[in-house]
Amino acid sequence: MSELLRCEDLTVHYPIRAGLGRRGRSVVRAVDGVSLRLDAGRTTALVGESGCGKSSLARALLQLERHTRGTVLLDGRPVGTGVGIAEFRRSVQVVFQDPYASLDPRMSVGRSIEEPLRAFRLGDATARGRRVGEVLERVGLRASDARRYPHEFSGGQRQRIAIARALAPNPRLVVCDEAVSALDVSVQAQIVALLREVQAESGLAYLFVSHDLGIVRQVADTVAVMYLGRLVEHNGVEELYTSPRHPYTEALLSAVPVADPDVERSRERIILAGQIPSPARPPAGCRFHTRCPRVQPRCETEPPDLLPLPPSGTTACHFPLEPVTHKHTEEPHDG
Amino acid sequence: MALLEVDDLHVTVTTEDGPASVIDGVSLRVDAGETVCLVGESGSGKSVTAMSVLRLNPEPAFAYPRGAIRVAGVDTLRMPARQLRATRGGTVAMVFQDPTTSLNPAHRIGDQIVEAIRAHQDMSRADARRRALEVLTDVAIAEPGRRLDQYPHQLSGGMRQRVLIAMALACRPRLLIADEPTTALDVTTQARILQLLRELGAKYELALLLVTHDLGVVAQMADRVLVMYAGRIVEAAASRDLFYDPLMPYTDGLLNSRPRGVADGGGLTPIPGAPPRLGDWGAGCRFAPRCRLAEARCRTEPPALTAADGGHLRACLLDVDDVRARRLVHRQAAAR
Repeated sequence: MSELLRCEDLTVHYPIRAGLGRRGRSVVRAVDGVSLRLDAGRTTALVGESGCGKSSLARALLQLERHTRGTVLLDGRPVGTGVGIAEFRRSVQVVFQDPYASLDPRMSVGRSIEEPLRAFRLGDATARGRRVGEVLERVGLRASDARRYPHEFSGGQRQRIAIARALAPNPRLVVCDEAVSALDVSVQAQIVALLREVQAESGLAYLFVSHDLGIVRQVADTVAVMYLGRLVEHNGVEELYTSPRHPYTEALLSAVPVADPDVERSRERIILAGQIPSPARPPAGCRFHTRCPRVQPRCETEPPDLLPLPPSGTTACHFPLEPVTHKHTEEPHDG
Repeated sequence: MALLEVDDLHVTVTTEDGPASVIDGVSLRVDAGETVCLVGESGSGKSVTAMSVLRLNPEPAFAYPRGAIRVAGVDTLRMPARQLRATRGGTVAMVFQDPTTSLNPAHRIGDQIVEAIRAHQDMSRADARRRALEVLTDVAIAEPGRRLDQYPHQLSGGMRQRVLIAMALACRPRLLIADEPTTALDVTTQARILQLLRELGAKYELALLLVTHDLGVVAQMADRVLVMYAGRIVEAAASRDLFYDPLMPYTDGLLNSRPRGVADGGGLTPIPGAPPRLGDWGAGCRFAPRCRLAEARCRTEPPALTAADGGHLRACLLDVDDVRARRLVHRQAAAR
């Protein structure tokens, strides 16, 4: 597998005001030293609860957010110096959560989809028009829909349009930031199927940012779990779901309700105590130690590194869970 | 005993083209100590149905041309305003999706609970404050005494939802209506709130009407399930019957749109198309345009909600055994 995009020690800190109008010294550590590698043609999911930093990390990777420290590399070349920002933007596109907010209501659908092509000066008007028709048909709409306006479409269709726009410049990576979260259950499954078809055809890679672990299981090749600005675990999807090694991953998976009453009534849940601490004042040592059911004295002082943990994957935990034996499928590669 | 009985409810909303039907003949009942889940996608009418119980849909835009809603035997649709106010937050309490907008940011938590109690009960401020402390303890909030003097912004989302549940319970309601109470929360917080609702439901023998789009939440909570589509109930059954033997193709499609287990990677089968727009419902079965099994008559003849076997109700013209057989074939094909 070849590396497409990688970040090293990526850190995003937001300053917060100490008092009225005065800029304090304190910062929110939204993303704190994350290294992650995305492979060409694969889907990496980034999961975690609200405030864990998954969207900030995605925005920093997309160069939509200025990072405080660290590097983002495309094909091993640092973005900004080795790779120009225009080339980067053409290669890396994004689909956001809310298809109502991400399409300009006064712009025809065709015009919206054409916009990135114009920005990157790709082709003449005829070629661009042809491309618009192509991507619209690719996402299951009609080429003639280009003349219509967003309000004429349902939520699911609008998300198809947003996907068409992302696909138009032929990107190598599409970041899907909660791209199916706002859709109805029956429509979600359609969009998931569409994303998979597009990938099988064109071999593009996805970074799938989501809080929905049920959907992630369906789309991801590897899954990275975040907690309070740090990666705590990254592994192949099968391994991570059947044999989580970090206690937080285990608790997260056990909290997901499943559509099966007999399973629901018999399963044991790990109920996490307390609240997620503020990212402005993360706990010393392992950031999860204040809520971890397996906490030891060492966890309170010594932050664990994200290290390879046989038989597969990487985990940031001093006392990881024992592996459940299962068949080996895939390992992620972290920078 | 039926604490809530909705009988042939019809609700309309005023649009530019005149009144449009949103709820079209919904009937349901919730008994004391029972949890009933109302499931559906956006626009199915599940929230409008729940809001109708206390007539919380904004009037006169919303109107109730037909039907009755009896809470402990008394029709809320025909109640005088004064009695309706007493019922709201008294016999019937509600918890909504967004705990942030449901609390007043300018008042302390304790004062808001005390106000809610004193609106319904003749109680001194000191007694009401004691009751507030009691219910905050009930919902497992740590240091409840300190929380009483805090403002909503000082609490996390999960804690705010606990405060709202506490406030709902303060006047000892007999029916609790919860509309997507955990949808805005993280999964680990959701797990704790659902556990809390189950415990409190048992403790107070509450009748709980839970509105949700999440079949996982339904599987965890429901004694009985009602599935809504385009303003109608299309299937109603005990929880296990509905999940393991869905008899209406829409319910089956909904179940196949979500993974069956957390670690289930076995692919999803989407329902084609999108839920119909408000009022754009056609003459026959409203699900027919998206249904794999639909026949010509499904598009012209509206199905009534009828008993298939036992207490299992479904609105579908197709033969029950035929639906069962074709569901099995479809599942096997999807598994391959």
